[in-house]
Amino acid sequence: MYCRIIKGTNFIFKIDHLQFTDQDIIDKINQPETVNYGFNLLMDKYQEKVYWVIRRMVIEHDAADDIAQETFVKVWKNIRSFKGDSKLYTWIYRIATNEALNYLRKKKKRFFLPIADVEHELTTSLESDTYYTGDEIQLKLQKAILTLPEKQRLVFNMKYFEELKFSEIAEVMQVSVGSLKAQYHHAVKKIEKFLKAD
Amino acid sequence: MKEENSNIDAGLKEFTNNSSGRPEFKTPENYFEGFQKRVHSKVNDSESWLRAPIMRWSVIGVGCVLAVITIAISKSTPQTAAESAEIPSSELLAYFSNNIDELDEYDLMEMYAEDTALNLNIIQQDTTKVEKEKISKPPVSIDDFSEEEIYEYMLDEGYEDGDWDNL
Repeated sequence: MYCRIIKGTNFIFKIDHLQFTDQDIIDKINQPETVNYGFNLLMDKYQEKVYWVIRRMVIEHDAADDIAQETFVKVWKNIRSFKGDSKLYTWIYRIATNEALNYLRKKKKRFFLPIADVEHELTTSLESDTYYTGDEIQLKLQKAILTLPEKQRLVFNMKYFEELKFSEIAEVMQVSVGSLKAQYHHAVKKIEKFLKAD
Repeated sequence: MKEENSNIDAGLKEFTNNSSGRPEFKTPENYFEGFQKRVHSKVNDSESWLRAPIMRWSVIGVGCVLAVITIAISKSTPQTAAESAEIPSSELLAYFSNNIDELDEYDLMEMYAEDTALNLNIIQQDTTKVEKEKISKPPVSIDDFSEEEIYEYMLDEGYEDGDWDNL
């Protein structure tokens, strides 16, 4: 069982987020007296998942940290308008992936970088990142993944590393399952081709 | 379907099976422990920016400037309308006709200098009227009056009965 102690300004309380479903969390957020508690539960449940999705996209820890925080700030600002049309975690993932893609787009614009140079820059930062400890095979795979277009990379990461179902990824990216399968198939073929050529 | 999907990346999984399998990305120590606190402070920052004195006064200042501009525009608009409004020449003509005694020669000269076109219009208007009247009324002849009418007229003029036989 996963338990954490969260220190508030005047109180200490224990959270076991596995006890709470997404609906429980939303209910707590919707009540004024438990709104902060509900939001802490939400972050406790999703902060790591959100961080890793973002980190695999932007590679650098500092950027991933900023984007993950910004994601939860947006979740906080918009959670009251969350209608429950989609699942809570796919909604949070959607915010996170949009933030990550926006970051990469801004980076491209700011430095007038073509796609190939962004990919090169990410590869360089991967190699020099003190928080990257992958072995040779993992590094090779990451370099291959970085050759993919951004959205294809996102699909590949969510399917291969996060092991989300196609239906869940489709809900996050708001595309059809069929198109996602095709994208994943293309991504895998490209990576295999890269690995064989390297 | 699941088998079909797992077959897609079977080759890749075989390739990565040879790796050490340890997590490739790391985070600074206790990174996730302080994450919530950082998010909360960011939320507070984003919500309290309006409460900061500098921001509050900036917002008030911008509001005042906008209010002054709005008032200035709303006040200037009717003046402009009044300035640009055209007074009908018939009203001007009526005004000059009614107050002709109060106008001195300088006023009349000034009026003429400022609005020659108006004066021209007046002249043109009068000329046309006269011409129309002339055209519409044929010259008066003696045949248009009866003998009784002529008799009454002569009496009114001081002639006596029989005086006009010698005319």
